[in-house]
Amino acid sequence: MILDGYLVASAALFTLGVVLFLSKKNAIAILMGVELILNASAINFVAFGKFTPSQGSPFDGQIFAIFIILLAAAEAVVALAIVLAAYKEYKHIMVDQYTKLRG
Amino acid sequence: MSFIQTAIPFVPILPLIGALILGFFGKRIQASVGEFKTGILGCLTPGLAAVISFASFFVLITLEPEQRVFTIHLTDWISVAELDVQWAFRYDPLSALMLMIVTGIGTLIHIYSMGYMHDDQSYWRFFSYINLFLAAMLLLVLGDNLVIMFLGWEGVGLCSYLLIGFWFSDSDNAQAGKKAFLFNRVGDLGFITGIFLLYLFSSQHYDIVTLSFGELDQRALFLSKSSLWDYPLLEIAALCFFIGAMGKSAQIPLYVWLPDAMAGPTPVSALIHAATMVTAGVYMIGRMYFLFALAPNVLMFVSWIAALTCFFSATIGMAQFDIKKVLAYSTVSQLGYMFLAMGVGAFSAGIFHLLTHAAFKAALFMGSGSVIVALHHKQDMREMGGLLKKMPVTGWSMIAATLAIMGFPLTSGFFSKDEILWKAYMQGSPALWLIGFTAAGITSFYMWRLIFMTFFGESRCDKHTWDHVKEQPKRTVVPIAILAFLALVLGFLNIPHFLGGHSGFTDYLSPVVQDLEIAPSKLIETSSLIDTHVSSTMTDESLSVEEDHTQLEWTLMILSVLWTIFTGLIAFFFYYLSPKTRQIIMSFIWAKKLFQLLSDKYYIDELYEIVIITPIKAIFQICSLHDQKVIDGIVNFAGFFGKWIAKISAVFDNQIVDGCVNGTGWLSQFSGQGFSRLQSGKIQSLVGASLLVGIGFIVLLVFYFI
Repeated sequence: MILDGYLVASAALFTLGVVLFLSKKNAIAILMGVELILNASAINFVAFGKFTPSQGSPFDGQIFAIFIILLAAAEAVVALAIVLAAYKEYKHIMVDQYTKLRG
Repeated sequence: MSFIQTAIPFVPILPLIGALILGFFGKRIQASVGEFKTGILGCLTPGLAAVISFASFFVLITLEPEQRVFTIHLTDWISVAELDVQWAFRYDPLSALMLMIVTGIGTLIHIYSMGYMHDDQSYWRFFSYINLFLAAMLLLVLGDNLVIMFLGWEGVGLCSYLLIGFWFSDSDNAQAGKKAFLFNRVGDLGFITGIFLLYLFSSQHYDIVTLSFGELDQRALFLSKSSLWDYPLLEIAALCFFIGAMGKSAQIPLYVWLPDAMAGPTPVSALIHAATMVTAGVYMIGRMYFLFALAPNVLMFVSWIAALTCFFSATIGMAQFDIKKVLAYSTVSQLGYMFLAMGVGAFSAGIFHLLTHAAFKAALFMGSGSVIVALHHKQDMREMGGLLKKMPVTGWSMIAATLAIMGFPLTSGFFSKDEILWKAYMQGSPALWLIGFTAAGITSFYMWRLIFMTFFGESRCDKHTWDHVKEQPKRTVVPIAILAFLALVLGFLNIPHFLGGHSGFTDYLSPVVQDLEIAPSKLIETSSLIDTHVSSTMTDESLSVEEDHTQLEWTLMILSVLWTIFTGLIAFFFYYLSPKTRQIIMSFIWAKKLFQLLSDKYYIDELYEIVIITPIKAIFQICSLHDQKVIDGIVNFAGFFGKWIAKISAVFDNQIVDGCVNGTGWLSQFSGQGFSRLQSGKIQSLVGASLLVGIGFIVLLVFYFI
């Protein structure tokens, strides 16, 4: 097993997340793109933590990944709450049609 | 200050005041007090001037002949270097005579005009002009020096122009006025050149030049020694003055304006173009007789020009049908007689004819005016006839004046004309006498033709006009009758010696005008002019010579009387007794052609048209072409060039300057539109952009730092 395979998988996952994030109008799909980006970075952390551990604390990467999972969960809660609130207001979840706050 | 010195300056001033009052306020005066009183006002100033003139004359003749010359100095005028021209009047027997003619006949004609100009809109303007004319004419007569005389000379020319074109709304009248003015200008150029010549040569030898006649008289002998371009100065100066006289007094070749001048009102023709202004040239030669006496060549020239004028204008007069044109040509012809007398050195005879002619020609013109008014402004004699019954005073006055002009024994014309013919024979040449003699017969013919066509025979006007013909009011016919009476009797002033008289008129003028005792042609032959100067005393020899000629004088006189009566009878025969004979003669082709030649005035006007007017017009055409092609071309090119430049700069403005301005606007608009897309508020595009920027940074880092 080598580091490159992890990094390639992570980059692919990141790219898929970004494309999803940029191209979709659906708020849920965008959130799914964000989750993919976060998980791609978590894979990176885990992979770097395993193949290049630091001297004093060898599990920094793995711990950081756990934090990311936590953060993603928190983010999903808040974002989904906002999407739900927006759905109540607009009866749809297409983000490009949310124009009420436009300056 | 004697009466004369006090009163004479008022003679020209009074009519001038009248002219100014009527000229500036005449319209208002006429509107407020009416036509008649305006006329009275117009007559008042000439009347007063006439009273002064006659009173002064009676004072003058009480004086001794030597004391009869007055110089009345009023004020200085032009004083530059040697030149010292003064406002001064000269009152002597000659100017006294002219004053009486001008103011006397002038006043009569003013009174006559009140009737003639009746119902004319510009009544006041007429009186203003004619008063101004009198003022100018009196200035001309009274002027003590050439400059003041020239002032009057120009003044009468101006008034003549104004009065010929009095009814200027008709363009023919305005044209006639212009013609008279232009022909007079030609003459005036001669006059003023003469003044300049005299001044030029006087100022070379004397400290002060006043150009007064007294001074010129003294200096004439001295000046006669000067010469200009190898010609004697006085000959040239005298020729210049005679050219002036040609213009003013209508001599060949400058006479053509006078017949056209008949376009003016008839009183104007009587006063200006018969009695006074046109005789100014004769007066001027009489005034400067001393100068002309020293220029015998010019005198010869004068006499020949005069004789030709006299003859040719008389022949033209035979074939005119306009009553005023006949009288106009008659005037030119009679002026020819006056100049003939001047030319042969019989100055007093010329001036005497001036006097008698003023009377009879004024009477004739006023009579013709009376007829014209009676016939409702018809001037063609073919439409007249038989008027004597209806207009006896006018008719008999005109017949009396005709007797005078034909030289019927004991009338004024008889004495004055025979004197001239006699002098022309003695001091000129038999040829001059013959021309003058022939012309006298022609005069008689055309005058009787006029009388018979106008006053005798059947009426040829339409019935309506004929029924309305009536004698004119008193203020019209009385002046005519007075002048006709004068025309009959004035001759007794100068009964020649051989008829038992003592030439009173010649003696009267002798202090200021002396006749030549010797023919001008002999003066030319004699080398020393001084010995034969005008004041040369009459020798016993010349007295005896004159006695020998008494018989000849009688012969010539009887000849001319018979000749004029004969031609008068021809007119009587052709125009009264047997018009059929006339028609038979007129049916011959040669007679028709001759008549055509005469009635077309020898085509002199046409000659002027070809010789002078056409070349001038051609020059104008060339000038106008030059203007159109060259000057306009330059101007148009400049305009075209400017337009072209303007077009280029317009393109520059539109495309480049406006382009910059618009481009700036467009650029900011375009960029604004572009940038505004960035501000879509879409989080995805922001993230996309920042991602691209982040990728860009990473790429940069990779290439520069690794």
